[in-house]
Amino acid sequence: MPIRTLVKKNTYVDSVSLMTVSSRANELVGVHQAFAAMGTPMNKEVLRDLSLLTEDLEQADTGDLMLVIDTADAERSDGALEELEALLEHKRPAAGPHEETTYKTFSSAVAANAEANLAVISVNGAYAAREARQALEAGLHVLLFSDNVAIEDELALKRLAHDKGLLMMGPDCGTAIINGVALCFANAVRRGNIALAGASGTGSQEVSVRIDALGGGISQLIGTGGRDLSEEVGGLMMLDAMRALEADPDTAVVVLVSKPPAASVEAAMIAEAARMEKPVVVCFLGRSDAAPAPPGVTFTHTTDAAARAATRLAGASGDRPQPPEPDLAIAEAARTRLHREQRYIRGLFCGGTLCDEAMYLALERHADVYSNIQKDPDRRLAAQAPSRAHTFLDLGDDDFTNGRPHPMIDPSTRIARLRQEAEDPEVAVIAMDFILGYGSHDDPVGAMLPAIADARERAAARGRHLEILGYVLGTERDRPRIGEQIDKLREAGVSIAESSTHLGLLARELVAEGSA
Amino acid sequence: MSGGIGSLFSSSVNPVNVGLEMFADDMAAQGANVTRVEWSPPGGGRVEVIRALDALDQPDVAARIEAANREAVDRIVSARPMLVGFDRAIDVVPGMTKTTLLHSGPPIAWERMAGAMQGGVTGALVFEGLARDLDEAAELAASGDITFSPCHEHGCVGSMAGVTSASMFMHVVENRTHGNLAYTNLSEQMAKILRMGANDESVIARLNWMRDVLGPILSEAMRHAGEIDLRLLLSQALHMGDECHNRNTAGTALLVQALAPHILKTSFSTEDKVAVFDFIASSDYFSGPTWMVLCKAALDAAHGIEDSTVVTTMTRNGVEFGIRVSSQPSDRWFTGPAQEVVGPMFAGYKLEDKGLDIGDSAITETYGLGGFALACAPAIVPMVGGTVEQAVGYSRAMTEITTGENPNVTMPLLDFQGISTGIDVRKVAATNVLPVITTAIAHKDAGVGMIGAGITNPPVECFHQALVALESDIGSTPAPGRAGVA
Amino acid sequence: MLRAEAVSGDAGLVSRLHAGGFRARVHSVFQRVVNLECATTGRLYTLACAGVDNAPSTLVLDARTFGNSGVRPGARVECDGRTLVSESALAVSLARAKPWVATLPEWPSGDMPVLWLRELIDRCGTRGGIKRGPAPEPPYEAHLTRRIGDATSSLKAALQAGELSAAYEHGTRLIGLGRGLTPAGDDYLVGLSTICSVPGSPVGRLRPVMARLVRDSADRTNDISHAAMAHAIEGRVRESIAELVDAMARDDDAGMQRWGEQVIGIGATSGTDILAGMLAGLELSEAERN
Repeated sequence: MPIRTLVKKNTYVDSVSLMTVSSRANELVGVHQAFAAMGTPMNKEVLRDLSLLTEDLEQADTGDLMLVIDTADAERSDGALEELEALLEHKRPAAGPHEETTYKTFSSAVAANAEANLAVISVNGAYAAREARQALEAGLHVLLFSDNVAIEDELALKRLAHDKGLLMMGPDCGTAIINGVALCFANAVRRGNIALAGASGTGSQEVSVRIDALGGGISQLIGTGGRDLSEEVGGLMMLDAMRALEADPDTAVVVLVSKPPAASVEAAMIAEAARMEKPVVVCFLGRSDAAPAPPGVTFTHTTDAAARAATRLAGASGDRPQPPEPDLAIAEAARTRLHREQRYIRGLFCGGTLCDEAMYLALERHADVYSNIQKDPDRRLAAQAPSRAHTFLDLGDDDFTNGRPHPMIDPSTRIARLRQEAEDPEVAVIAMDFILGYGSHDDPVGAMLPAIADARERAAARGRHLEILGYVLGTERDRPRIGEQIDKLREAGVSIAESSTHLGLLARELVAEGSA
Repeated sequence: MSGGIGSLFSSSVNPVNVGLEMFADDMAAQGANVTRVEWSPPGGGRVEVIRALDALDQPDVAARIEAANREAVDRIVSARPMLVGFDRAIDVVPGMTKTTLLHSGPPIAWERMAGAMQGGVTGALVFEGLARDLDEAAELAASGDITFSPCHEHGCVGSMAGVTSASMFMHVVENRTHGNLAYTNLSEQMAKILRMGANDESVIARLNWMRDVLGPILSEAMRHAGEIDLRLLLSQALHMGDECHNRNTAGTALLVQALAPHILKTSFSTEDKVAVFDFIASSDYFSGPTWMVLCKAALDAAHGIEDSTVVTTMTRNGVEFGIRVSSQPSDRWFTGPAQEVVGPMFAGYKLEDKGLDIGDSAITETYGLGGFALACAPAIVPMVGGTVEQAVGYSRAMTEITTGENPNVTMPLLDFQGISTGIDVRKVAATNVLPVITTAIAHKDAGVGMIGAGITNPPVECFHQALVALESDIGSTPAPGRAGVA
Repeated sequence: MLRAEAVSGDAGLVSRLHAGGFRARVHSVFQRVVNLECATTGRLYTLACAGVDNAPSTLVLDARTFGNSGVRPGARVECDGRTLVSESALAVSLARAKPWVATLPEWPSGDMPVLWLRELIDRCGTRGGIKRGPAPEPPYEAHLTRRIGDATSSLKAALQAGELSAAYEHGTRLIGLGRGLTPAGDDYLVGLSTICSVPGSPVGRLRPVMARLVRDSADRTNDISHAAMAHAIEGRVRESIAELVDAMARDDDAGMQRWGEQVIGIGATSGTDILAGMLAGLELSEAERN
């Protein structure tokens, strides 16, 4: 068991880097154990106990860093020590008083930064797969925000990632939180012991902020990309995510979030969930199968229910009582102010999953529900088509964005559509989501206020009350502040829903029964 | 294999951001150590380029290429070009005849030649006594009786128009490591000179003096000297503030210092010797061609390595820019249109007077000097434009497109990093970063001469064409199961 | 070259800097923190980037990172009363620095939330220090964890029993023990010292032995870690710790959660190790009261 040691005099390296170095070092081929620690008397005692205290280590001072490698054979130990040293010292081109070094390619960036471990890729879809492959081959985990990536490429990437034990989040993955760092579109949520694996970006955002509001916290939020649970991809990333979360000591409960997967894939996910020892909450929105859940698995049909189940299972709220189910009383009051011909809901959404959830809730009561993301082709609307009966629009869908920025960033499409809906005398309620957090607009509510005021005026001019419902998705820690956003909506006469689920429930409650 | 994902969970997140800047900003705001990539679509987004890059990226192919490129860089770095003499072109240059005129750049016919090159051709024909005046020379040039050929295909390089004729004295340089020889003619020192397209009596008279006095003196001096280690002088020149393409102040001083004692020993009159020293002192450019031929000798040795994607020649004739790649045949040129040179002009000249990029002098950048070594020469900035910061930035940027560095020729300001060596066609295509070239600007018409200096690039087409050719020669069909590009 | 403005700082340090004549050398450089060693007293002072909380002997700047500044260990640092400079790498303007003082609240009449703190550490604490890493631990880590566990439980038992010499011995075994820049043992003692230093603390009588322990241990751990312990035993702790203690004293749920998480975020495992020491202090206080 050859031991190689090195003392780096007067070397102060922050603890996080030291931890990283130690874990990386322990993964080097042929290394029994490796560690880095300051040369204090007590640390040396520990080494002495393990018969690892060599003379040069004995000489180390409290301000010196001790590096020790214990390997399988002499040959490997030299190389391993070099690698350990290299992990500590990153050679950067002399970036002194001159400009910050920029890298033109992924490979040169990685060559110069040995600790890089995650690639966040958001380039045009035509080139995205290539960059992602380079990242995986360089040993980095990948978050692939880009969409319009061929399904064959997605499969190849996920298989490669699986073989290498890496995350391949995406393509079309907009949300992730790894080790408490929010990536792309995500919220500042508390850290805790609940993990999410989500094929829906805004769905994951919603469940994470609900959990935060209930007093729980997120250990990891792994995004799989919108197509992971399709027949072709077969849930490759979600399966790997579940296995990783099962092994993660900081995760106590796992939540799966998605629109309904392909049938065979759904069965596979549930089977894996049943095999896990940790409790799993499954939230596949719009899932209609009424079969009972296997032990250890909880099926929920709304994001709100998923968050409540997860926090309960995680024991996160402790003794604190769960907040009451949001009530629908405000809907009753508002209904009285509507004319008889005002029968329909119009949902104008930035978040695809939020749109889905509201739509499925409406479908539980009504048949004439239209959308640009309706599965039923008879009820599918094109972007230019006017709304019909109950219409829920995912304004972030390609059909609407058409080269323009996403509605979470550019409100103009929603502003125009709001005006249209306000003119329609059959509209009773307009429901909208306002998404806060990283990646979002600086002031989503403020951006819509003039249009909201305008809409009410138009309705009022025709002697109509127009009920506008809003839900602000965010946490106390997000910017802009959620309290201010909600206040601004209230001042504008908008009724506030407390969750995505609540928004859907309120909307359908507001329109009379049997409004066919 | 969740072990890998698990270890991410227990380390800190160190992201590399490729794409939208706002994601990088948000991650940095959360305290993550973000590395930013300034990304652009490889090959400018062209599908055939990306396909070629992917084909060459396959592990077995890439491994062969990497090994070949390392060999190429090895040869360039280990080359030791020694100046061993000065002799007339007719006596030393392979394939030279009394009626051959060599020129810079890739092959080109008389009719298509740029104004400055035509000026050089007619002037050279008069100098050689093959025509009595410039008009007769023009007829002779068009007649088909004169053989035109690129300097590069005869082991030579020529600066600017590069017109090289039989009676001109040439540097003779031997690459001691690999045994190959290379040649180039002598600097004419002024602005109104043959290589810049001027061809009046003063130009011819000077050429005559160079043939009768300068050349022979240098030739005899070298017989006394034996040989001069050029690479040693080169690395000293860089440390003294030259980039060895346009700025040659230190290099000239070092070269003449090496030659001086031997010039004194020659049998010529004191007057002649004084004239030679005066001539050399009249312009810092004297050592310019010397570094060009050094680079030629080193790069020729690196040509012909199977599977290598390293560029061994960059050159222009004022109409086209051409490159050659190590694994390709030596007469296979990948060309595109010569580009505009951007920089300050001499007083009295306007933008429309500019000729396009011209000369074999881009061989210096191919080796890693000139634009690649701008970090060594802040003093050149007023001459070529821009700022010192930008100049240093160029040297840094070139590391993105090269294979390695030359430990024998270093840049003090960049912590003695060696000059970037081995331009890789794949990297140029993938990064869209083009080699940077510092160069003089000649007037577009014959008979005028140099009118300014500045910075330019090759046209990207050269590299794209080369890449596609390399794909069919080196690359193989994709392995099964490997998805193509969307 | 990094030009920055000092946004806030330890009141003592700010007035010292404003007085002019400050001379130091750069001791160590990290992404968001630079430590300076005073030329006259040898004490350590810290420059921190935005987002790092106020702390004893620390100046918080509006800069994002020291990453590309060129500040190097060993470089000279000077201050003329208005600007703090280091070679051509750093220039910090002091004009708008708001003075900050660490204030620990009075010990409350009611109970401190011991259960909550224990649960927070269990649920959210980072592993690898006091809280053992995921099994199986490599031999060195396993041994280290065992030693830390032994020392902390012996120390706590001795303190509870009032056996101060034994406590001193056990405490000595904790100093410098652990893998981080601030070893886990040191961080544990910072946490414990904090609770002992709260005005009116039931374990205030333990302060003298802790102070002696810290004072005698300067050569048993590195400067940076030692400085933190020396401050803590004097009741000088960083902002997030002070705010946490304050929130616990007032039983402010939201505050406890928020500042508890902030403290956990310190270093790699330092935050959790500090909380572990605080928990020990609270448990001892509880025992004291009953």
